[in-house]
Amino acid sequence: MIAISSFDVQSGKSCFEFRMGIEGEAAAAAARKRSTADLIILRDIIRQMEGLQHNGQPGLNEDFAFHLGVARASHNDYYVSVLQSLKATIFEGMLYARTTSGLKTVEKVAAINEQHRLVLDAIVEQDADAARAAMRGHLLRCRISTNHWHLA
Amino acid sequence: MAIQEESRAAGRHQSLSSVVYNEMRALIMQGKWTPSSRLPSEAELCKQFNVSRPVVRQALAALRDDGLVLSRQGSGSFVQPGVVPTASEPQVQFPPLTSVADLESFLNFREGIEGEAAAIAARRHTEPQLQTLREVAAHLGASSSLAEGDYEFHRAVAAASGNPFYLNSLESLRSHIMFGLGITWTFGAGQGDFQQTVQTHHGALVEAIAARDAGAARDAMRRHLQWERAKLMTGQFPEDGL
Repeated sequence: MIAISSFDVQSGKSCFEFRMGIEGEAAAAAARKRSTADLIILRDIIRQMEGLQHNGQPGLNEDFAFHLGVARASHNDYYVSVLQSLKATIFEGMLYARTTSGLKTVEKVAAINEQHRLVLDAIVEQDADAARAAMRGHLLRCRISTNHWHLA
Repeated sequence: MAIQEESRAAGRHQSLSSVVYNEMRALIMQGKWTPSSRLPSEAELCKQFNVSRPVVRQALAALRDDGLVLSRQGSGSFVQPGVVPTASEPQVQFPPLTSVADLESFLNFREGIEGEAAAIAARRHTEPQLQTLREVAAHLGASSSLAEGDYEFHRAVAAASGNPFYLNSLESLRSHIMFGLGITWTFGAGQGDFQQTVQTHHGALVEAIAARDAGAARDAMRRHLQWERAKLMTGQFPEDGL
């Protein structure tokens, strides 16, 4: 268990749960609606994050950009506006989810990149169910990694 | 999926106490339990949340750890005098409806978000939340317009999810939802047994939530919204979608 003073533990957990629902649906819609331009943007973001992985940088901006990119690829502004409105909370959640376990930053970013790849692959394949499952799975892992926050 | 896995891992006891913890925390943060005031007794809290005493004690211990509550031996628990209530849960800003294309996007979004809220409500609702849901469903339009009663029902489902982000979203989307419901009810009220069908749908959804069947609750919500959407977009009284 780690000490968290500035961040509301329960809001963080609720936020990941909410994101599973919202972003799972956004990813499914993206698989149906994505344009070629969307795919180029998403691939670029993943490549940038993979570059950072080797520098040992956390890449929070790139991480958020990927999620926003998936929402944009749904071509539904309601999904985009949720992520933009919750940006500060999402950043805090990402930061704290990554304080978990004994993994080094490099390993954590590698795991995130692999999970983002699965989401992108499903969107490329236009497989809505797989995209939803991959996004939910990714956010579920983030949420589970917050379990050690809980009051023992 | 997440909740089930988590509550298996943590044990039912802990998941219940975190629900009670959340509700009590919300009462404090929203200023409904004011700073320095005495909390209801453990026995009263057990009754209020319909849980056992160890569950209440665990929730109180968590609130003490957060520095929100003080317990004095023999005289009960108090809200910390220094707590500053904030009603500032993050509010989501949604784009306005400016075209039929926006309306399509909004209705798709609503189906996704409300289906998930219903699934979580099925897993996590408390007895008082279920009671509220039953009452709101039974009294559709009794104290306000039918459209407002319909909105109140959907809001109560989001509230029963126990996740403030779902509730905030439904509240932030109130004017969007009311725009659609206004049209639907204005033209639907006199048509066939429109109101009866809506109430049947709402009732089926409440039963799926009461049965803690997340999949059935999600399906019932989505099909109900698809049915209302068909009514809104075509004006035809659709075949019962459930």
